[in-house]
Amino acid sequence: MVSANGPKTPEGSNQNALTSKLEALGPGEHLCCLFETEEEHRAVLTPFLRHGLERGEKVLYIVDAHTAGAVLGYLRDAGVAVEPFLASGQMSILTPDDAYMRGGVFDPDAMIGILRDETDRAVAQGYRALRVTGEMSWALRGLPGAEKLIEYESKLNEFFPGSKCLAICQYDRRRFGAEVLLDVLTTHPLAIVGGTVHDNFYYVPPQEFLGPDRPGATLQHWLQNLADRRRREEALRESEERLRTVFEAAKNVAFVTTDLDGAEARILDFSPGAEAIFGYSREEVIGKPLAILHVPEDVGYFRQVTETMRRRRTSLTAELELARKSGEKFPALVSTLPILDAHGNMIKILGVSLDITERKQVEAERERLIAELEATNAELERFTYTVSHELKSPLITIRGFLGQLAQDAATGNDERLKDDIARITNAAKRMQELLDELLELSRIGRVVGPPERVPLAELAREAAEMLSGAIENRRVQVEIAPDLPVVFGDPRRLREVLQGLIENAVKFMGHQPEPRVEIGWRKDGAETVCYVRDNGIGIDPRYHNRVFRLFEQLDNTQEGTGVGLAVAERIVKVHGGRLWVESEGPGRGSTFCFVMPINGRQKG
Amino acid sequence: MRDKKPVPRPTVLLVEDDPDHVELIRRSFEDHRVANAIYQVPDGETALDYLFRRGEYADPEKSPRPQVVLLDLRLPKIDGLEVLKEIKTSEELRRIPVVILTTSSAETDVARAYEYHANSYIVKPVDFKRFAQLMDDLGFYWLGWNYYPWPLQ
Repeated sequence: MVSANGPKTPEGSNQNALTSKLEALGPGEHLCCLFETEEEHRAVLTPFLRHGLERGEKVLYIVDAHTAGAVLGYLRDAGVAVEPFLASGQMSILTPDDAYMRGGVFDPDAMIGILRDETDRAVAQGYRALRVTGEMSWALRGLPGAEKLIEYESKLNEFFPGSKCLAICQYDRRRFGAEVLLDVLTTHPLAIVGGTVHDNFYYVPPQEFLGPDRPGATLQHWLQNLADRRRREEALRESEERLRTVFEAAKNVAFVTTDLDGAEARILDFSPGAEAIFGYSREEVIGKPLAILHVPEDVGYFRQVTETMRRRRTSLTAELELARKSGEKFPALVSTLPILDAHGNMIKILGVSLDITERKQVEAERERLIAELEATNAELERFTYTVSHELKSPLITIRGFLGQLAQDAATGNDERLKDDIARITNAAKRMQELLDELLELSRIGRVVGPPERVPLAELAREAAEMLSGAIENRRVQVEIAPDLPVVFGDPRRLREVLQGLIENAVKFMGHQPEPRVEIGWRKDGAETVCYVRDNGIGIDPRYHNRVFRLFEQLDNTQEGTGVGLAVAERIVKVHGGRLWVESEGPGRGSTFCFVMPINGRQKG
Repeated sequence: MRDKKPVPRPTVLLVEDDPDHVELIRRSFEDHRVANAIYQVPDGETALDYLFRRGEYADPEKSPRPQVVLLDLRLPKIDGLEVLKEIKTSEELRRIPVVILTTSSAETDVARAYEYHANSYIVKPVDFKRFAQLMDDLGFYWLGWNYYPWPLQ
């Protein structure tokens, strides 16, 4: 396509692009080159000739407007030593007389025949292919047969495909008129114009071009091309539309495009999702360094990533910490993708980021739940183990004394007989109590009712009431502070706690002549601690933790299954509180303390 | 009974908190005429006081060295394994054979007991006949066949 803006002077990446395209040319290609300046001419021919020499192809250059020296000069300037190639015959510079006008007349078929022969000869000589290029300005001198030029160009399209020959026909736009050039365009599948290689839209294949109805065929072809091009444009537009939709619509994905400006990669584009995630508006960040989105420690990492991508052209994904406009850091999943141009060079970088704060939280929560579950399972295992052994003991007793009983019955030992029966009975009773308490314990978690206002003073009085028998028996003085706090919880359960604690206190008075149980409260910093204090036998500090264990009994001489404290602790825990004991040791009394959360929140 | 060991007063130290089990064991030893003194203590703390001759057991007459210690694992206050560890790490006491006699058949308990150098590990059988047989065997083995470190003052 002829550029309406005039010729481009190839420079920098344009030259690279042109060279890459030329590099891709191989045997069988037939191109025309329309140029307007010497720079254009040089920019095309230099790589074309050099590639041929480098690839072991035989190179023919037919000069007309330029001199051989000028052309060789192109190569020398590009650092190619031309002498050896000329000497060996790999490269030859000819004049039109040697080529087109051989025999004094230009004849298309004859010329094509020459080309064919030359190609075969080149191959026979061991060259990979024949690479030809000719300055077509000779055709302007009105030489005999020159009018058949276009016919020749069209017929060439029957020769080239599949052959081991490739050619560029050079047409200087400053010399050739528009009419001819129009035909030139119609007869070359590829056209180099304005420093770029184009797939020629206007090309019409020889069968039709040289057929009976050239205009009709040409028209047909071009209309078809129009339709095809239209379709391709539509497809491209749809594709871009789709991408744009993703770009715009992905509200929780940040698309950030940056350039590759060394270490200071600058933001080129910033999607709405990025605006939402980072808190910057698009205008604020365009042109700013990408580093503003990273945490300071990671800036070096991004530099590394850019380098790796530049070298290996792969995309990289990693979990990184990024920073919002507010300064808040957040965890993100970042994929960095290279954006390549048509030649595979990386020209931009696309960063796709997902804010994974929530995911991280969920993961953390899951870890916590798993740990909790494992702890619960371990607890259950211990519990089961403990229970089974607690039951095994009385069972041994029962069976053991049944055996003894048999013996004693046989020998008529009545005293022992009575003892045996008593022990068996007690053991069975113990098993029964154990099972009852176990059942009670297992129900605690499920049966705690909805939280009510519970005035502890009242509850304590009720609990003491229920224990009035034991209290009187042991002549214990019970004092209940009238200003005990009000807590939130299950009144029945909490009464059971107080009952258990008071019962314990009364039971373990030992030899205390003036047994006293005090139910009160105190302030411990921010917490309100309630307690049941006694002046009984106390608990050795070494065993403070053990008393709350299931079936643990520090003193076997007392009645009770020892489950009371375990149950009480569980109830308090389920209410979200804590139960513990303070005691200086044997003979110094004990204080059982508990706190309850203020808002009555309950744990499962 | 072998006659090569002059026996001052052979003893079994029974560390057991369940009074019914104590009674069963006593009767068993009596029945089988393994005429040794069984000295019973109800918890680990008392057991160590006895062995280390502390407090009320300071008088060696009151706390003769046992030929073997029968030790339950589930004890109030100090854990049975703790008691085992104390005995087996003490220069004074570690030569005394300690037989674990417990309801627990848990592998971890067995492993840990041997880890702390228990001399033997026995699980109390539920069946009365087997229980009686066990007491028999324990008596014959540890008080009959087994040599103990001499002298045990």
